[in-house]
Amino acid sequence: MQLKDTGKTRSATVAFCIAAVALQIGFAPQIEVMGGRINFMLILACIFILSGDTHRATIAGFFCGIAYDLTASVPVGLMSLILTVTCFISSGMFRGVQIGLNPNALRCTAIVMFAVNVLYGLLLFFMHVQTDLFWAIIGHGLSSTLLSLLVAVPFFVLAGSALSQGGFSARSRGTRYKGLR
Amino acid sequence: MPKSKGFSSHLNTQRQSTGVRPLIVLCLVSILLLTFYIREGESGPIHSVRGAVSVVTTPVRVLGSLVATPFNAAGNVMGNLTASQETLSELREQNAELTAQVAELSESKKTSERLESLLNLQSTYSLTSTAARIIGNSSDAWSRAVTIDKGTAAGFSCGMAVCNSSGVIGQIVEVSATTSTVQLITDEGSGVSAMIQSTRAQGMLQGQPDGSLRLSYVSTESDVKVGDIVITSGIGGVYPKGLPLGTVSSVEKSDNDVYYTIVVRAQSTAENNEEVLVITSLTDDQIASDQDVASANKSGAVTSASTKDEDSSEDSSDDSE
Repeated sequence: MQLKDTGKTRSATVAFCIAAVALQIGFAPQIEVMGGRINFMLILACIFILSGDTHRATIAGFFCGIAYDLTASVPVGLMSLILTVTCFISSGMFRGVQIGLNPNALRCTAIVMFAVNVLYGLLLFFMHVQTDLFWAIIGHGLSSTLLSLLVAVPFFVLAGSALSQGGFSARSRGTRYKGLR
Repeated sequence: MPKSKGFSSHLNTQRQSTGVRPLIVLCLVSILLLTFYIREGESGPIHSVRGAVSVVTTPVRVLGSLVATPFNAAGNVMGNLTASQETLSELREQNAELTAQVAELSESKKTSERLESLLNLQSTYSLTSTAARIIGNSSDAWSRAVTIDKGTAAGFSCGMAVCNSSGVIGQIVEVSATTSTVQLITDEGSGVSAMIQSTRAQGMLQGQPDGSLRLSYVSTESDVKVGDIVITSGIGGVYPKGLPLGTVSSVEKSDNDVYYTIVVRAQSTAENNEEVLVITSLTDDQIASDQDVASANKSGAVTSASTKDEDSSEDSSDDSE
């Protein structure tokens, strides 16, 4: 599935980005459950991953990471590095997955979120920002994954409806070469 | 001669991007950013950019904090409703104890007021401080910090201690023009020079990954009991001497141990929209005396405390010892 470069797509994408950044700044700091916090930038990156455009997902991953790094008290550049690489790899791996609220999309998102959080916790541990590996990976990483995955559901519903309204193009739709088959 | 059948060079010349080029470029940018961030210490271009972002995003943070406050209160009510019977009986005991203390303290307060008026004291600690308000917590799961609504414009700088009405909550680790990030004492990167109020046994209060506090480097030769009050020792020059930090909740000692394993319950919590005091300067009386430093040196606490304070504040390393 590729994002069509139409005005509607662009406005839907911009709306998603603004909402995610605003929630990351205003809402994410307010909620903590069992050592985990919601990462709206990771949710946004997952939406770009499922859009299937590797080029765009890689760039989006970098900017999502930078936004996270600059709005939290964490080492700047670490999340952007992880999200850039993850978005590049994942968008190729999950190319066939349809965006929206479906088991495949949620499964892929869970894998990406868990991988990112575990890797992040692990690197923070090696950088001596975290002193306990268990807490870095399970205490913070796993609970953040579960919390973010839960909050990703409404985002996926909205992305799915944007898809059905033509905001995002679907690969299942016909191409202009249909008559040539 | 028939024209050879070849692929037309005019068709499909624009190859679809695979994303490898942006991957390489953006990875390099990220690595450079990370390197510069680590190398620049507490101030530099990347910290300045983050400060600018913090200034720009302050209205959104404040809005989020205001919106979330009623929900936080609801969460507390739910927590109280689901409290176990053991907790409730413990709270009843505490209530009875506190009621007795209130009566005692009311009498002491009157005495104190009389003494204060006689001695013309303005406040117990004589803190030179500026009030600020907490506008949000850390947005990442890996650190325990809060954001307050004042920064360099109010005269704040890195390393300044922050406390609320109950006691110390932490120190400023990042500052922008209009906001400051306060690393809480429960953060695992935090370390505060502390002592037991009753016995003056010196140690270092460290945050743990699970959010609890542990008082390290307290020699087993000293006397420590559950319920003892832990206060700041003033060593390091960051926190004024004598501010409450917490209460000892458990003390353990094995046969061959040199130091106790002491778990401390924090005295204060950092809630949204709560007023805090940022201590902008310390007087000589609020810094540990040479005798205190010598006493801490014996237990080995001062070395570790100084190391921790240097990690989190340049000021402390300038002032300590």
